[in-house]
Amino acid sequence: MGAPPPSPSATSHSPDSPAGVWARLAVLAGVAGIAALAGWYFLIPEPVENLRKAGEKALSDGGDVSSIALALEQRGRKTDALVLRAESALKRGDVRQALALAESVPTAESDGRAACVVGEALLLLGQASPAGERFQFALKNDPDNIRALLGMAAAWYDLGALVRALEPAERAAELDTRDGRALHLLGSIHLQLGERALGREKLELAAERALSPRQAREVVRQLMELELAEGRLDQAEGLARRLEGFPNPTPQEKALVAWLGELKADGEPEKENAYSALRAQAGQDPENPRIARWQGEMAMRQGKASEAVDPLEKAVRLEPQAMEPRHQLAQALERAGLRERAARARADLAVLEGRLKRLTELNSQVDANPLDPKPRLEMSEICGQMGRADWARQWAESAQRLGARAQ
Amino acid sequence: MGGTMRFRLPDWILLALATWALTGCSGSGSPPAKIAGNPKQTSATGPMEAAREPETPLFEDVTARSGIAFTYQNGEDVGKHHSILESLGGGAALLDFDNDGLLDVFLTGGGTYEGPDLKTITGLPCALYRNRGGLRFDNVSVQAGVESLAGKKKWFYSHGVSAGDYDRDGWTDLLVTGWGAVALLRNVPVDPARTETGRRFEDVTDKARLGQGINWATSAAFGDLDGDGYPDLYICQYVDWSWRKNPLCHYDSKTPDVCPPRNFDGLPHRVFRNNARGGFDDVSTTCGLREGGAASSKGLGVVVVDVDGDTKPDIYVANDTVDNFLYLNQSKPGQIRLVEQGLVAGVARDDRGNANGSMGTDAGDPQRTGKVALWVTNYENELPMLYRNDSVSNRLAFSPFSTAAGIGAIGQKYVGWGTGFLDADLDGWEDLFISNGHAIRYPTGKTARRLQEPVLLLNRKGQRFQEANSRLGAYGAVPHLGRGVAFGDLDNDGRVDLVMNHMNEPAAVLRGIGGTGNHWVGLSLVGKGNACVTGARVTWEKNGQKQTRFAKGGGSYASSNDRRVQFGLGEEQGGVVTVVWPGGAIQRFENLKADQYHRIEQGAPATSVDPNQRP
Repeated sequence: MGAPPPSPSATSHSPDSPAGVWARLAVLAGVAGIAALAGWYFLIPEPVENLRKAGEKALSDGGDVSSIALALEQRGRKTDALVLRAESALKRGDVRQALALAESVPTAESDGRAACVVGEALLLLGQASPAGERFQFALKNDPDNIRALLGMAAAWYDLGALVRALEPAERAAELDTRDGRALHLLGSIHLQLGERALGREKLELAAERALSPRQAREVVRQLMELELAEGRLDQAEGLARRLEGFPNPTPQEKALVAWLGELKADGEPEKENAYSALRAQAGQDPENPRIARWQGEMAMRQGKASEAVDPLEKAVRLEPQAMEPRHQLAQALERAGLRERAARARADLAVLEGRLKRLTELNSQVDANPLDPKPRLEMSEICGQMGRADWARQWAESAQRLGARAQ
Repeated sequence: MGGTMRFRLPDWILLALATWALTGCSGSGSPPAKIAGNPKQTSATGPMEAAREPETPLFEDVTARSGIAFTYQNGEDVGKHHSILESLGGGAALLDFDNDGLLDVFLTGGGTYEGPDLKTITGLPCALYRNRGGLRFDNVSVQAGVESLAGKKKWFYSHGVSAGDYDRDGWTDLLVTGWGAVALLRNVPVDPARTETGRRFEDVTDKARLGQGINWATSAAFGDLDGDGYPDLYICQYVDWSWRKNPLCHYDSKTPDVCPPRNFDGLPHRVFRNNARGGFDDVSTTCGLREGGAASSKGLGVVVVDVDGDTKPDIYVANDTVDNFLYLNQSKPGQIRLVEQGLVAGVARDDRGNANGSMGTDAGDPQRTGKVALWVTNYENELPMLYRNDSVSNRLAFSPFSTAAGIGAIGQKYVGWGTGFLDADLDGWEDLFISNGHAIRYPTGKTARRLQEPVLLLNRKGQRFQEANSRLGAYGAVPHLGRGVAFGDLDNDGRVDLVMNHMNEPAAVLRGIGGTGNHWVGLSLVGKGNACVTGARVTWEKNGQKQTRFAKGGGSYASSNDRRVQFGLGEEQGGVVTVVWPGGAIQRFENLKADQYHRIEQGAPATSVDPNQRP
């Protein structure tokens, strides 16, 4: 395309010489070529694939996708346009709009992306069970859809089915070895299961992979909490320094620093300072169950059983399904001399233990008979008794859907 | 092992997904962040670093030259049953059976399967090694009569052993535990007419009325619970397993393996009151023991020690996957009465409120508070728990201290069994040792291995414990299938030595060689008329420093330790030793000579033991 520019020797030819004619022709040909290219660029429609890519870029840059969606529609790609608009709505935090748009994708044309957007929107709306069904749909079409695998894991996680959440998260981590999100999820699941060693392993691996800044910060915070829980002060200190690198520390992060300060303290005044700092953060974020629990634990460590009772009661209220604060509350009440209340707290703990055990059994039953609504109904009932109306509703809805299908 | 389901609001997950949605399916978009630096990287100047010392070994493996060549076998290669019976392993006892001033070593032998279907459970012989000094031992099993039971009957499938002078004749006897049976071995002269012919053991189980009602005995401990001077007996029982209750278990959905204890009901433990006439009365159903069942009483370890300071020995029991027991002793002479207070006192569960898979246990005073701290080793994904004694006045209260003490730093990859407090460097602060090894054949966790390294935790002035595995010498560098460990000074040099009875791997002897230049003093407590001294407490004080040791029964896992107490003195010597005997009598001794043992007999002046240790 186009001849090379004439060399100094060529320009020395006379314009009328054969060489000069050839040179003029070559320049003309070059100009014509450029003009043709420009015409192609401005006049020929953009390929759909390019528009899709442009849409993804606009999404990640926070730009407006409406013109790209329009262009997609003009090329007859209504589904792509709807999904793009839905993704954009999800990004803006307009979850219901995202859900409406993604759900309006005709079933026949529905692909994994639309199902994932619906699933994610449902998860954000606290509807893990139908969300899981959407991710399952996406996985039927493409078992290696990383987004759907992550969503599936999160849906199981939300439903408290932690062991079942492991498999899709592990698969997602295997499929994309650069991305840290699946490992982050895996680490969190293991920690919830009380498997600290595995939790640490996954979180450390996640930290070596790519994460959003927010998740990177979350991983550091989780690792620091883990190190403190295991008494590894050197490591916790290193992680505290990393947390300092993030702007606007949260009360939970400050509370962790206070906890570290207490464990490192040599004398009573330093311990007292750490306790004051932690109490201050509890005031800043009064509905944070973790901070409430840490405050109670620290009070207990420092022999202030009476002061531990209130924050631990709050932690129990905020996390009615958690064993730890109930156990600690019983201990605090016992030590504060409130023996009748301690006995009641222990009785409550025993009831919770029984319910959690039953939920574990029911989870296995759901696994073995996924179409049977009965175990799901019982799970709903138990979750309600545990004070988790949200989970109760989700299990009840999933049981109802199964029941309706059976009919 | 599956674990109980726990719920928690997954707030961050929703955020993570929203973030995911931002970057789109292809993962393109804004460049994702990596965490700056390596989170595994540790601070180079943290407090633990500052505490580091030269890595001189504190132990030396002397197995090869000791003459102890013995292997506990669990029969796993016979029949390929993968039965839970094969998971427990065995233990060791350190006792001076011939009263020559040197600790001898008894090792349980385990068992195997016989018969056409390889389902006849049979025992393998135990072994007794006599200490002839210089850490050399002779196998005297045949001469001492421990190669078989009464009437040349074959051994049962054995696990644990406990040493104690049940008949108060001044000679240490043995109780061996196992599947379906226990054996009480009385220490008697080979020839009563000629004492120079030495000692042997006679199986007196039936005579002593201990032969009935044992299903599966694991650890046992002697202690005078009712205050009559005669040691009574606490026997842990494990779970209700038999061939009829032997489900097939898998951890990876295809490979058969040993079933977890959660699949079985716990067996009620047993308490036998010494009737002072050479026998025992079974008081298990009347003394206040907790019942067995699916969620109770799967006992593996026991230590008898005065926990609440009332001069009566109490009982702490390590149970597997269910609440640990703390039985406070409210007995009167002739009547044993125990009150279980584990949950109330805070020693039944871990800091998260979970019952752990507990195996070994011990009691000590690692913070020099003068009060008993309790210690228990646990399963993988759990932490070994150190419970600090926060009791005030009459209210018994313990707090989990593993995290604050830095013990969590060893991680949760170990399955801990035999364990104990010992002052490995004679600095006056009690350290901790744990023998590890997985309970199942094919661990499925990515960090889990069947063979595991032991752990040594050095006590940093009662505030922190520092992992010091590298100071275990060559033994510590190699993984083992650890089970029972017995702690005692085999060469009377003031340093505690260790005898490990592994599973399907030769037993090992580690000689303590730490604390060079530090002083020590050792005490051998002898009750009036050879009365049992379990429950006594001994303090050493000088210049405002105070250390406390407790006379204990049981401890570790399936094993029995040297009953002498040692104080590491660092650079100090002399000081005041105070003994509070069971029942409350107090004796003080000033300026006991350092670097040797002293015989402290109740009501009598202290007697130095010949430093050459051949009385």
